[in-house]
Amino acid sequence: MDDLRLDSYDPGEPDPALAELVLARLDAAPQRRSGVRWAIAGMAIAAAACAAIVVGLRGGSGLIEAQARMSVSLAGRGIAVAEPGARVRWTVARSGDAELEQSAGTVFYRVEHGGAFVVKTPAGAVRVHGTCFKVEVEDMRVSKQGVTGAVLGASIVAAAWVTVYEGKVSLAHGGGEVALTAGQRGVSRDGESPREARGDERPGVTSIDAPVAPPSANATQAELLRRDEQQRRQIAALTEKLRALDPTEGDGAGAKDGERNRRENPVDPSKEELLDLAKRCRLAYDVPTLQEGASRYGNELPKELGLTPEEQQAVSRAHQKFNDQALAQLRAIYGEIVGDPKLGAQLSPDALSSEITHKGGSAEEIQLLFKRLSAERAGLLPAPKDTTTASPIERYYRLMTSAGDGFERELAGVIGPDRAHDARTQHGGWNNKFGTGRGCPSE
Amino acid sequence: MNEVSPAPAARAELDELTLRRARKGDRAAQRALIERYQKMVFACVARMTCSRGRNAIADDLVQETFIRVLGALERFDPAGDAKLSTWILTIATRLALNELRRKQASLDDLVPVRADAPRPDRALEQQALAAAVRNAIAALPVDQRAVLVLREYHDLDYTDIARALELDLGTVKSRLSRAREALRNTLAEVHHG
Repeated sequence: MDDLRLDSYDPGEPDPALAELVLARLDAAPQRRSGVRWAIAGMAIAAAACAAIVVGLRGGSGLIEAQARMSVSLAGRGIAVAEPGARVRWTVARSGDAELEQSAGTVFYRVEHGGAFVVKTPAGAVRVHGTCFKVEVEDMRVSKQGVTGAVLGASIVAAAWVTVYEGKVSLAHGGGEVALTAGQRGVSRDGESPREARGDERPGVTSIDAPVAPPSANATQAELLRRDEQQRRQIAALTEKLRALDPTEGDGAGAKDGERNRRENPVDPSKEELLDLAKRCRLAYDVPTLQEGASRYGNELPKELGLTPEEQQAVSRAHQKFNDQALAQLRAIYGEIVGDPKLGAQLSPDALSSEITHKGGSAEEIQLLFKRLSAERAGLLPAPKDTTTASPIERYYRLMTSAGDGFERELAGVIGPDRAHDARTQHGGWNNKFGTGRGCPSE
Repeated sequence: MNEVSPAPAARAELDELTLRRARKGDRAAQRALIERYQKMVFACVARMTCSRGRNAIADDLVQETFIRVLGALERFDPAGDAKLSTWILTIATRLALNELRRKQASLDDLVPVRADAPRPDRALEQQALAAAVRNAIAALPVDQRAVLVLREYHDLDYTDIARALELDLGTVKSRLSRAREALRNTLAEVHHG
């Protein structure tokens, strides 16, 4: 029958979330065999606490109440990665239209095409025109006692924060609306029109002065976790504010570019510079462009290097190799962090980095990590011989802080060490330069 | 007519340790089982229902297949005559047949593939051929279609097909012969036109 070329009929690929859906159905209702059309199902994600889902022919609905990080498939319309304390009720109609009510917590969404996708929060609705974004619902119960000295009751100040990684979303509330594109963040609060967030605004930052109310005697674990998250944000915001006020800090709000470049050179730092960084638990490093798609990096290097067209092509190939390896590692690291190796496949490099640094570890863990890494770079601590068993966030920062040197070595094999170094130092480092820290851990 | 179809790449069966764990209800092992065979099951079900790409019927049948597979896995005998993949294909095919008979879903439920559908990754000629093959298969009676799919696309031998569809060997051969002849006639115009 091969003369009939039956193999030309390619049926396509199965649902990527198939295993998850089948196992959820088994967990939820092993006794039910309701036929092909409909099935009652519940999600059983590792470490997830509570999620019930009804999966239909097309569409479904469910409730996510995360007590640990959990990944939930939204009936073919996307995936939600919910952080502890997040609460989302979701419905996907058979038409494919998805409506979600996120009343608390932080949830990262990756949305597939197929209809409207709206996330409603107490402080505004997020309408999705793109693919990747994160919604954080800030639900601060502020006791007026903290303000007036008398118990006058309590009020809830809710805000919705949206971070867009890819595509576009619009954030709407009370007749106002703001459109956000990749790389932008927006905030919406009761009584205010939604707007793009300022660069230094973070969830919780605007609530530094509002004390978090003590927990009630019968507080649930989810409420305690949410309260803990709020306090951590306040501490982080205060730390950031202190750093901005500290004239010795390089990337504080008041720091000038010239000062930062002088103090935190990512390329060939002197011994004194490294010791200074270690003293402040900070890292300075550079990373070449990471991108999806074909590299044309050879064409982007300065003309002063005098590269021939053949050399430019060779540089692009070297960059492609480096880029692909680094992206694969980032995706593997992200997969470990969220417990789903496939989730990072469609995230851009920026989205991956943002997600990894946000979810990879607590503020305290990252402070300790920066202290150790900066000490290693300054020669105050020996570098470990084997880092394969290190935490994902540690491997992320080791990957990032070694990327600049790694790519320079790669390029040296193509255009020679001198021109490779020149290519890097023409603009003070590869395309992305970082001088970063979280403050030193308290002794 | 060529009686021996080219054998597809040999299917790697699930390893024994994972199978044993899956039978005991180990979720990771069950997930591994699904991931190992999902493409095969989807291909079988999609061709049985003559669809291209994912659709509601195919998605549900694939889900239901694995629900049944995992529910009955304890009864599967690894030392028996059938390989695990053949046993899974049997379940998938029977479910698809039941659904097709129940709904009489064939071309009536499906939008024929347009030969000029925009698929940048495929040449127009190949798209036209794929559409013709799909429509020719869709035109077969479902009983013939099941035999053809298991033989031509999944390389089951006559005995396995007979066991899977609870038919005698002669019926399998005659249905396959009729299916091939019908396909040949339907596709002759495409190939030689």
